[in-house]
Amino acid sequence: MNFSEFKRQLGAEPRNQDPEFLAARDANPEFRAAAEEAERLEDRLDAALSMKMPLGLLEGITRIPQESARRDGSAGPQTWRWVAAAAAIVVTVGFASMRWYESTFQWESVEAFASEIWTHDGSMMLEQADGQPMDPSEARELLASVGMNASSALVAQIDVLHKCRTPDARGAHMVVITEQGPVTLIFMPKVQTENGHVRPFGDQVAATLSLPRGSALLFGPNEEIISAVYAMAREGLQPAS
Amino acid sequence: MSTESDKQARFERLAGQYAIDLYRYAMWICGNDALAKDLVQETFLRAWKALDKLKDSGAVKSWLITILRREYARTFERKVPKFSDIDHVVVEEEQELPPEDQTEIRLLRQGIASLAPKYREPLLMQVVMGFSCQEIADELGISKSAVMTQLFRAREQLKLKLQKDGVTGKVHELF
Repeated sequence: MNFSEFKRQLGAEPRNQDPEFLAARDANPEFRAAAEEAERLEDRLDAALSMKMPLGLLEGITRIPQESARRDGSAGPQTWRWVAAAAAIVVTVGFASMRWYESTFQWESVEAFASEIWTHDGSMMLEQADGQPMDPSEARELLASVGMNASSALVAQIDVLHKCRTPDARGAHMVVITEQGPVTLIFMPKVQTENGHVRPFGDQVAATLSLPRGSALLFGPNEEIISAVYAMAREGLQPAS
Repeated sequence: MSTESDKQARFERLAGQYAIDLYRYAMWICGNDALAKDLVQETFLRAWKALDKLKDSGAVKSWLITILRREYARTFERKVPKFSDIDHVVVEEEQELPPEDQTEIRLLRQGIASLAPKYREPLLMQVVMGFSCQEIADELGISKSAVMTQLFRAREQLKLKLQKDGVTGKVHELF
């Protein structure tokens, strides 16, 4: 292992216990000095991140089983019927205007999947986006692992890209930078949809895009922003050979 | 011992073992004391309800972090919290450190707070939760190589912050 690779691993995992890493560290004074400096920074990081347990937090947590049992006991059947009815109305109204092809997967429908992934991960992914494109080779590698190639134009605008669960297969969840703002694109390898018009989706608008293999969901703050990525994805996302 | 009391004992062990780390993690992703406490409470409430489904005790850390991150995402969707309280949270043992070390730690805390989330979160998973690079990759759905790059860059930015603010005598030429 050369010094450059050693420093890369040291910066990523200073307390790495890999035998090869430790052997390299112990074999060379320069490596050892770098490791000692890194260890010192880790000690400071530990101290900087330390916090005391807030008063009452642990006690509150340990009361959860009792309080949960009490709440469950006090909620009668009548209460739950109202809750169920309200939830059904919300779901029906929320998705009444959306038409998707359904498939056989663990979510009841594509809209159920869209709702879940947007609720769970949509904001967090947008938060991770910093307006800078990610490493193109990393983006290509991740897309290839879910069976897709992307055009250079599209790759150059990907800010964040993670693999994610999608109906029947692992897909990709990415944030694409545009001049007007970020657009979220979720590639679903095993789902077929029709090309959808842009439709309201909470405080966003959403669209479906049929691809040569699978399909994609796009989320953005308005139709204009989505349209720019829609066209680029339609041309630029192709099955990996 | 009944099954219910076994479950409760197991839950209390989890709380004792992970509550502080989850609070630190929550505090460092949202920067808001009240919200961090709510996130941890909600995480353990959901953990209690789903505890019977947790068969692999080795996966408990990842399981709890996944719940917490999802709770945070839901909260974030409703309202973007203000990252404001970090400076008010007491650092353990800080008072026992020499003044120059206290300065360095304060700078590091500022640096951590100002890291982009894509660098800060893997760093927190590693340093606060003790995750390996592979575990972080699995949690974030990115490659191990990408995690290593983000961790490297996070530390590089912190080191630059220390250098820029004049604390260069002790942390130098690291990368």
